[in-house]
Amino acid sequence: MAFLIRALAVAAAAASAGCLRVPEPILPVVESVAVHAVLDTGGREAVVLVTRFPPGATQAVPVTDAEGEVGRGGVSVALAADAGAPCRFEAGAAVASGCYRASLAEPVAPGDEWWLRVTLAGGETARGEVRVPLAPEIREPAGEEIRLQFSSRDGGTVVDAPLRWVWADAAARLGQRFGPATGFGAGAVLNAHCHAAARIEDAPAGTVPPLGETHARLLVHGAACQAAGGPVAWDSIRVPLLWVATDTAAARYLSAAHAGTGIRPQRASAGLRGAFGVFGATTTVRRTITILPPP
Amino acid sequence: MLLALALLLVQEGAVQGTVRSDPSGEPLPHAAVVVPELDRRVSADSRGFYVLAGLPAGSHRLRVVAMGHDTASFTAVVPQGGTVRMDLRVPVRGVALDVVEVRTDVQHPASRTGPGSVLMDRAEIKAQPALAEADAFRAVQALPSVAAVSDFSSAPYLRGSPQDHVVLTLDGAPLINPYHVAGLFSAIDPEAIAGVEVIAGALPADQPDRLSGAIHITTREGGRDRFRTTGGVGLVSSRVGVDGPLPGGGGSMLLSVRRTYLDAAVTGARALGLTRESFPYAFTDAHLKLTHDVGEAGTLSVSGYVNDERLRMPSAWASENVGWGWGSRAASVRFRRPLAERWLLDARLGTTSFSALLESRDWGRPLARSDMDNTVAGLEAARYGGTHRTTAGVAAELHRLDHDVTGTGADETGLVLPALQRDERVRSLAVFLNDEWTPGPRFGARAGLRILHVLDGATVVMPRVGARVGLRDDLALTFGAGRYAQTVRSLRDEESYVASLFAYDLLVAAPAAAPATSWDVVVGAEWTGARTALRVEAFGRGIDGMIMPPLADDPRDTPALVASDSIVGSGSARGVEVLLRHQGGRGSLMVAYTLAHAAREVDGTRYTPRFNRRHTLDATGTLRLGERGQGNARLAVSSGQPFTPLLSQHGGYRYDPNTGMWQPGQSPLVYGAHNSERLPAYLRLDLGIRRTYHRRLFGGEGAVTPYFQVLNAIGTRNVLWASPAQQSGRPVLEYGPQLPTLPTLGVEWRF
Repeated sequence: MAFLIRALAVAAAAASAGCLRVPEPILPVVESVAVHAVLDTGGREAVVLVTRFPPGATQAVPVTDAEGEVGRGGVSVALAADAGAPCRFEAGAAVASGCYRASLAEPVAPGDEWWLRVTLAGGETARGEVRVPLAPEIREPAGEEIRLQFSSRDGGTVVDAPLRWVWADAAARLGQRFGPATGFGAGAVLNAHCHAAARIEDAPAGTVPPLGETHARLLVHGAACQAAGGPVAWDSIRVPLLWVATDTAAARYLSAAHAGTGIRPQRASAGLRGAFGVFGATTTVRRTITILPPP
Repeated sequence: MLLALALLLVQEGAVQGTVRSDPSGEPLPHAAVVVPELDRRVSADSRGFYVLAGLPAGSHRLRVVAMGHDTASFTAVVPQGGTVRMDLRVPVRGVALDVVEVRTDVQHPASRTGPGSVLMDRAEIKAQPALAEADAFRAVQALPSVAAVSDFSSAPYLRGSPQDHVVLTLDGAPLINPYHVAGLFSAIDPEAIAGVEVIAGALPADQPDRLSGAIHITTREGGRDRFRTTGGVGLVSSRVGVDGPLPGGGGSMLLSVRRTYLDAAVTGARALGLTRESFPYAFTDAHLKLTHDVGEAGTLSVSGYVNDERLRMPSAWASENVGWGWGSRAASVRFRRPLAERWLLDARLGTTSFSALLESRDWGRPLARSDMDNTVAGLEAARYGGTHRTTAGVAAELHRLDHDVTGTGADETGLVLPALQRDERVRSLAVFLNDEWTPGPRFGARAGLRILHVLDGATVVMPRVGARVGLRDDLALTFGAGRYAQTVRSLRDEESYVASLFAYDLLVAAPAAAPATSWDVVVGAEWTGARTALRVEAFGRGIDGMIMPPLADDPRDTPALVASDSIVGSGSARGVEVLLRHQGGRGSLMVAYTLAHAAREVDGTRYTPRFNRRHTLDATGTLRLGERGQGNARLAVSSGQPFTPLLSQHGGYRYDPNTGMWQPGQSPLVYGAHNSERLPAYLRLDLGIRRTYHRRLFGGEGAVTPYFQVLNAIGTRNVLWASPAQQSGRPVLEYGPQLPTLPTLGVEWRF
């Protein structure tokens, strides 16, 4: 019987396959140009990545002969090509980036409105505008650091701290995240990999920031430092906690562009006209959580 | 003057009764009853009931025209100011072979006062080459108003609307998901069907509340003269039916049962020790109808329908022991009785349900459960005046919609079920008034009003109008318009590829305060010759307040079901339809052409829905082969359905605000505008042949009809979907197939 069932399945598959058109190679009808640039509050440099994706290519190729400028109001700075530079790619990323840089006369500040123009040798021009989101107001923890400590039954460190803040910019999409942890011992930075098992609970998610004060909880279930020779004793571990405000268009792009293998054109660009990619801005507020071992 | 008019009215009389087939005595739905010398004509209703009112007292010759029957004449003596009751028995044409016959004068029964509905009888349904066996829903897809979303789904799409915008009824009871094998077949035994009526637009006020149209299936009542049996064995299932008079006379019964047999055969083989395996799938459907006369002219009928399916995946096929059972039920009670001389009372109670259970023995609890039921109680009274037929009615409706689905993520099959917990009740009350006015043979008009009140929700007022103007005896113009509303909606996302493969709807409540509404306008022309009828209609439709899913970033990721209630969209459709029916000496031909535009608008994006085909040409022909044979063919040619093309590829990067560093992306495909291109054109030729042998069986005259049919006889590689994908880093267009060449055979009998 199993043979009969499988034979029927194979026959059905074969019949369907007999009626199936073979996949046809297709060429994207449009050569795409991508511009990527994100301005960070406090930064004095604009870095712009320019690439193109020719029909039939398997990966993007850098554009090295573009010219452009970035500015605020009537004041602008020309972009300078920085060919061959890693251009703010993480170490080890084998990317030819088409890197352009511009030194800004003043640091990027919340509320500023910046514009970008990139013109390729063929005359195609991409233009973008972005308003730098305002910084959120962090109400708790109140100071630069908090020190909370409870002993759990298994000897680990447990932190359960309330968080309160107010998003200042309703047009921005925001998120909280942790920065890399740093361990300290005997008054010095430890040469070890330190890690805090931490998470934020009850923070509302979504694309629209909630109005008014937002409440959440910071939970740290454990912490440890590890060196090549094994566990390392530590006096404290500092974990940066970041509130990142990103302009809404850029946030959508950064979350959608890599969610699947296909995207819609309106999701393939944010803050830009004439190219795929993103021209966005972020404003980050940091608080450092200091975790102490149990007494 | 007034005195003369009053005297004239007093002198007028009426004839009423039921048109029946001779010798069986079964009612003939929608037969035409004509008084030639007065140029008067009425259509019998779906139960064969007719009223000829406003006739001068005296003797009149009545002529009756009905599909599959000889034309018959009768003499009626109309009393002054009174009503004479006459049941008109029309001799059946042929005794054993289902003959497809075009009767141009009876196949548009509602066309006296507006755009007409279209009828298909059992012979037409059975004459179409079908997948394994005859199928009412697939047969009506040969009409210009009705379309299929794919070869794999028999769900009817009507003038730019999916099936949940169309009310399906069986003997007046609403139907939910009346399908087998995910929609591959409809679950209505064709042998039990008397006729199918399709109302594609300009619905009169008495029609149930749906946004688009109605498909009404009327089953046979069964013969009143003797018992008959029918049966058949096809590749998929076997069926048997019996009909005959009720004990004591005065009524009839019909029972038909259909079931798959491979699972039963394997079970038998296992009992005999021939195998240790089991076959994983089975379906059963059954229909029972009892009709009994009440008094001199009333009838009480009870109709029940059961559809049950089981699928249990063998452990060798699935990591978990998964079982799936689902099915639908329907039952209706209908009482009809003429009151006084010109009134007809029609009371009905219908209920239907659909339930599905997906469970895993390993999980120990249901993965998904869905229970939906719909109950309708209605009361109508119709008055047949000389030139007016006025109908008033009330209908109370209850939907109970209970779904509990444990969400599943996307798997390799692309089937995505969102987590869904809904337990809803929708109660509504509708009242309507409709008047049809036919002052002469060349003019008829109707005006009606339907008011729908959703309990704890909105009240929707829906005017309906229609008119027919005869330019000549054989040529008429028609017009109709109306507003419609719907209190439930389907969770199916029609943009999902899965919607092309599964016909089942999961219904939930539409917003009570703002149910979806629609309007339509239909204008047409009808030419009716002796052997040929041609109908041309142009229509426009708008739909507002539809809860719609957002468009997925990648069309391939569109989920099968969308539980979100947050986005309200709109839709529209317009088109031209041509229907030609011709009866030749040895055969018949039906040609349907449709030019259809449909659009949806959601979230600022306007697109053509995936089920739309711009041009569709459907030709169905039958040809007598000798005295006992019949050849059938159906040719379908249409534009491809829309798909979303690949526009470009994009070297996207990911940004980490923690470090201010970029990371390489995946070079995603960038799609063009949603559904902005079309798949390759569709072409399919189906062929069938049947031959009837007369035999004496069990002491009576019987007939055995073997048949052979081939679907997609020329092996066209029709395309179900086209999907951009990457192979070795390069984009390609992958195609999903429609049906391959598929031969089927079987045998039917009746005696």
